[in-house]
Amino acid sequence: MNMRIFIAFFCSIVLFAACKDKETTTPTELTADLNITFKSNYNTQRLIKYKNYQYGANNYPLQFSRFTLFLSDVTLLKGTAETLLTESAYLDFMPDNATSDTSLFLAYTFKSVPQGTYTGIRIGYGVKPSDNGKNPADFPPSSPLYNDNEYWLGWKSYIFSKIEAQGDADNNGQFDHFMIYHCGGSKVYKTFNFTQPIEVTATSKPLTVDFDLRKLFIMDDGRYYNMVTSPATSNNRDSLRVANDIMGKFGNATQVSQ
Amino acid sequence: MTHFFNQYRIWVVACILVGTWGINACNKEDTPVKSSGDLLSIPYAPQTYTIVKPSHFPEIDIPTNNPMTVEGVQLGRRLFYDPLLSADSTMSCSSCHLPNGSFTDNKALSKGIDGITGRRSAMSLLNVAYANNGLFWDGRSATLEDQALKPVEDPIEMHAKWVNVVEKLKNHKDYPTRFRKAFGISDRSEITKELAAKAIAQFERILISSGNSKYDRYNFKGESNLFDDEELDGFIMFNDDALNQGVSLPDAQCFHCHGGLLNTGNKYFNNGLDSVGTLDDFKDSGRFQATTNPTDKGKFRAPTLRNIAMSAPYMHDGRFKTLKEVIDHYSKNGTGASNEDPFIRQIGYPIQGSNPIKYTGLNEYQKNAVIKFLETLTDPDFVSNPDIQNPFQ
Repeated sequence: MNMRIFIAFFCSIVLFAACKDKETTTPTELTADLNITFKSNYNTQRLIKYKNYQYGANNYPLQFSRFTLFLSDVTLLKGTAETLLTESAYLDFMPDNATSDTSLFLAYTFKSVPQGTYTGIRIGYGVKPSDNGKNPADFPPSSPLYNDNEYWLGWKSYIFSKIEAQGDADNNGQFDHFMIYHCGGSKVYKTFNFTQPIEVTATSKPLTVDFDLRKLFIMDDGRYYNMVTSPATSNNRDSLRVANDIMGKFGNATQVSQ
Repeated sequence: MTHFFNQYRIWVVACILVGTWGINACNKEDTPVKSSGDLLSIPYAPQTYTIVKPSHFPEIDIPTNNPMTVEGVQLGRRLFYDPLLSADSTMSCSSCHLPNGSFTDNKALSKGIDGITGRRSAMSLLNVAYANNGLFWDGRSATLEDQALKPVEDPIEMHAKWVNVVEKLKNHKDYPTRFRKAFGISDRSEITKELAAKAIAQFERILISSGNSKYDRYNFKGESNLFDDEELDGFIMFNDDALNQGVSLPDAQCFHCHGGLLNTGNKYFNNGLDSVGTLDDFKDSGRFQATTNPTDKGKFRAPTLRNIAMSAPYMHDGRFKTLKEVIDHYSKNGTGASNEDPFIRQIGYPIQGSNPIKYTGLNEYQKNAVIKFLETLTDPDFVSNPDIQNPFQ
């Protein structure tokens, strides 16, 4: 009888062993997933395509129709130690497959991040020069840099950020002032550090990264950028300077919170 | 030990049987349902198909559930050219997508088998393997496999029922063997519309530029003396590159919608074709039909400009017969619809003192230069590629 029980037990072991999916490994250090949500705003209001926002000293109506942004080397900081989350990311807050005009919350999950309390995060705005020297043919389809639509052959550069808007600068009911800011070229790539305690544990809250477009267009002297006289970065005499200004203001326009 | 097995042999056998059952029951792979197997005597040994593409083109994203095989491409090619797919066996995919027209039919609007005129112009299939942001002018199909299913049942195109088409394929003297070789089916009863669409999609993925156009040779292969002055001026205006090049030419703003290595970003735009009171007034609501987003009304997918000189007429409704008419249209700087792409308003030089800033459009020389550049995108080697011709001729 005892032998029968033993054999029955053995059968059960074989049965359950057959159902085992894969072998598990013992982690060498504790890790957790980190969720980051990227959001786009205008003066703290969620960005919505073709919605009226107020712009300039005269508060004239302005409507956005596109906001895209490449990020590079998004890295968690802890003293001098660094944890790279991703080498590149492409954010399209108003994609043309959206079923509504409300800008998207773009959520990313970074797997197996070492647990702990980090002191901040570093974000590269644009495509880092070592990648910007390549083109979409150099990247696999899974890469954000495979995106042929965001590559400018003329400048041999990715378009780091596209911001398109239309304004009624003379308040006559016509949205006939067009503001097109396509920024690119390795010279305008920017990196900013954000000092902020960031917890990574199995139960920690997601990190939120907000971009406030209004802050991109407020100059150092507090005035708004004149979109009427400089409506585009691609056909303006000082386009590179304008692109450099806008990319340089992403640090001030970004808020990191958890 | 012998005594042990003799005494407990029934239990030992039971143990092995239960264990074996357990292993099989937990196997995640579905085993195909066996049918009568009338095709099993035909060898199934698919060979991987390697797509030939220019080295300066991006990698092609092949779906994992439809890998490219020689047999799949051959089957898809036959299905593409076979009028069997239409209700009365008079019309095939190739009726509207002919190699000589860079896989368009060079008609403003095509007619289906019932003589009904379609509502949109046939799009070029050149480099359609890269169309990763929706297919058709409105992007309503996400994949080539899905797209290939649609025209067969469209009443203004082939006007058939897939169930009938599949029946014709099952009873065909040749196709069951080809489906077996491409997909490993064991019986003709396993032929489905989904397998047919997969094969057609595989064929469409090989419709890739040769990389030998004048433009490719100039811009990517180092033949830097290939362009004449007019073509070079057109190239510079197309790419808004005058400042970089240190020359005085206006921006034609073309590349914003037709840029990148493939001369399309597969995005959707209102390119200022129609003057409307409100967005609801568009005769064809375009992209809205796929997204149901009201601000997408009047937007259409920007097609590739490669081989554009071979694929007249132009626009989603074929309203422009020539490239000259197209450039004349863009040179008018739009109509002012609220969702019009802003670049439409900025073609030419800015007019000093205008507020809001107006643009000059292009003069006749500049228009012709842009057209001359567009003609350098012509790729005759693609059109004459023997691998993509009608296999029944």
